[in-house]
Amino acid sequence: MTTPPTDIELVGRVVSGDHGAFELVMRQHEDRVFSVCLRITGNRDSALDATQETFLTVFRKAGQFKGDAALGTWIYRIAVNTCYDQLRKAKRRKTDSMPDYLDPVDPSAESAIDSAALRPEMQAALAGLPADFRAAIVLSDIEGMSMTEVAQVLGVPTGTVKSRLFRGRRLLAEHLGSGNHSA
Amino acid sequence: MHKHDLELIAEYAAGTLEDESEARARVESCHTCAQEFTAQNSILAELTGIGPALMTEYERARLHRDVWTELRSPADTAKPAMSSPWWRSWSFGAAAFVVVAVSLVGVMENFAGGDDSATLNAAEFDSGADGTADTRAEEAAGGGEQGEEALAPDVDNDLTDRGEETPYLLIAREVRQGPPSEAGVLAFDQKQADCLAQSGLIDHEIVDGFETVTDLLVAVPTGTDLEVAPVVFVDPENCTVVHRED
Repeated sequence: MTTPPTDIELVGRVVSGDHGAFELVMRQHEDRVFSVCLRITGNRDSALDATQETFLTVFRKAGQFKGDAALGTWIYRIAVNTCYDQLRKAKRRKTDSMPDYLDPVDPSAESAIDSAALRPEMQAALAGLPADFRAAIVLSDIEGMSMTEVAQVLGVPTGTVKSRLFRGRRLLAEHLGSGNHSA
Repeated sequence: MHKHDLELIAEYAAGTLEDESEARARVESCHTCAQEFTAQNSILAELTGIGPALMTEYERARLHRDVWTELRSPADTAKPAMSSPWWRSWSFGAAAFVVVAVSLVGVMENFAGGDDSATLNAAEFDSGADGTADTRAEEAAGGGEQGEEALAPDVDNDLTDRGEETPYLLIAREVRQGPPSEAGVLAFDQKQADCLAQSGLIDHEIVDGFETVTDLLVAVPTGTDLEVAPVVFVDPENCTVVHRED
């Protein structure tokens, strides 16, 4: 019986050019990366692009993984930063027209959306949050990561995560009309 | 109600308090606390009830196709880089050389000889910020002083002629250019995060991956557009802000 490789061993194999090892890393983390990216960007195409960019960065930067944190944490950190980049780029090209070379819409995507859908009001409220609040809420409240893991992914102290969560949820409550706050 | 109380209520709603008695008492005795508890609770209930978003098989196939197409393209060697792309850009390579030259001249002037590092520390940044660094670079390019002649031939005069150029500006410009997939992807460092918090920058994050080498921590307000973000430089030795852009 063989034991599964440790994070460091797996990344070491990726660095040495083992494509099978990289495929394994992708399979292990792609669903959660996509889920995080979808909640942050609010758009399946953008989320898929961000997921792709994340794994390209993981592959190219694998040599920089030192094992200080779990491989997943490192990957989600890259994913969140990639999503921030996507949001910045999207802001810049807001007025651009839709390119005509996009892949056709996946007809099964609608049912996938339904199975984990945010109601439109919540989606709009989430999209209206500052990106750092949104990321904290997505990682903690939706993805269920621990406070420590969220802090590592976002690169901030846990106190800052708590503060962002608290303030983010307040903003959501206010946006959704369920809050009656005096700040 | 005090802000701290609201955070206490938020933690109570999230179920992360070890001792809930104080929070419970506040909720029972304070109308605003009760409202806050209800609001936080309802948001949390909705968010935690959402399942993970899954990729469709079509999307999964597209992801794998696109990733491998990219990795197998001639521009990509399909093998991860072992080291950072230090000489990726000739212009930044030249800029980095000027900064290194300035540092070396500074060391030689002080007759210290103890620090032969090519990285920039707070003192060197300060000298750059008040304009003396450029003077040193020009002296190095112009020659005439002991030890400077060897540096002169390789110095990019275009860069040294930029009167207002400081090391802070060099790095701030790199931040503005927003290295697309390089910045901020290094392994998380709890010590650096604590240092930022200690220097009062709790809503800032560290950006990294620059061509210009520095010992200082470079931070920007979290979530702001890098093109307009004011850059803050923190000395990691004592966790103090040594330079802050307006």
